[in-house]
Amino acid sequence: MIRLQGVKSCVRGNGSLKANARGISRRGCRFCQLAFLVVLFGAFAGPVHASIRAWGCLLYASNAGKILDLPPWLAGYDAPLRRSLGYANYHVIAQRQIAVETRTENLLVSAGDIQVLLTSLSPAPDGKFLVELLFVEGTKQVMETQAKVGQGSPLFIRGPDWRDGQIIIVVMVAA
Amino acid sequence: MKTFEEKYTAWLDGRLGGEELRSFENEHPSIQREKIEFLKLKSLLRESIHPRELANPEFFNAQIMEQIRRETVATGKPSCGPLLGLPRLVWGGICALTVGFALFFTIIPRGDFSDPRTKYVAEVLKTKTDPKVKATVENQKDMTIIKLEGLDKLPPGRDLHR
Repeated sequence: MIRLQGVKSCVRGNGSLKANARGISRRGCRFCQLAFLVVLFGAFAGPVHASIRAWGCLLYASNAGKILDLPPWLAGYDAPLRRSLGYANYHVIAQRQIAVETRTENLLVSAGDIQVLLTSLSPAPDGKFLVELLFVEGTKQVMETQAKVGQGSPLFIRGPDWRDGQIIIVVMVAA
Repeated sequence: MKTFEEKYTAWLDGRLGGEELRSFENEHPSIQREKIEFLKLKSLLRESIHPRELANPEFFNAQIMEQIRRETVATGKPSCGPLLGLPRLVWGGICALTVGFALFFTIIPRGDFSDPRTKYVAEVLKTKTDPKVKATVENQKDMTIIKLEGLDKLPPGRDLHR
């Protein structure tokens, strides 16, 4: 009788061991699935929220000729630029794209003594971006501005005159 | 109307007779030699292969007949009838459209991408300038321009391409 009970308990124990092993393997499988999902979502979400890219450009606008050398970011702005600024010729002097990860001051674009610094860039609750810019000429801080911009919406600043035209500063949040 | 193969088989087995036999032999005079060769082969096969008696021929026949019946039923079923039925087609179409719309509205971002200026937003909140410089903001539909007045003109010889 005792032996029979022992055999039964042994069998039960064996069964529970198998069940435990099955449970562990199922848990492991679930963990693998969860890990896979995390990696998958991370792969998609990571690049989006890792950093914000800002693009800056210095254009030389003049009426000497009608050559329009606009960067791809300003595609479609040829007519508005001519209409609003009154110049026919546009030429890129410098352009740069940076990834803003910290809140420290970032040099966005520069040419000669002209420097455009991005002092702050943060996403606003409405999906726009709050941008703070500092326009420096040599050691002189010419202008400091704060603006709310949409992604892909360039902000234009009419800078100093140069030669027969003018320097145009363009700042845009790329993504 | 019997085919040549049917007549030929019946002729070899000696089951063709009468007018049919005469007309067949007249139409194909060269088959007599084939018959001799066939008879030689037949006798050779009979000598070498001994017929085996089945222990349970009824069961064997019943199995074969059952298999034939199953195959006949299986091949006789209309396989693609229900698949192409009108209700199934309608439901399939509705499901495909639903999935298509769901994918379109969830995956494909909406908006007019032909002109980036359609969603233009640039609002200048605050501007602080050097005392000598005056800043004015021009808000247009597709462009916001900060105009700086009072800036010193850059020397023409200055190289800005550095």
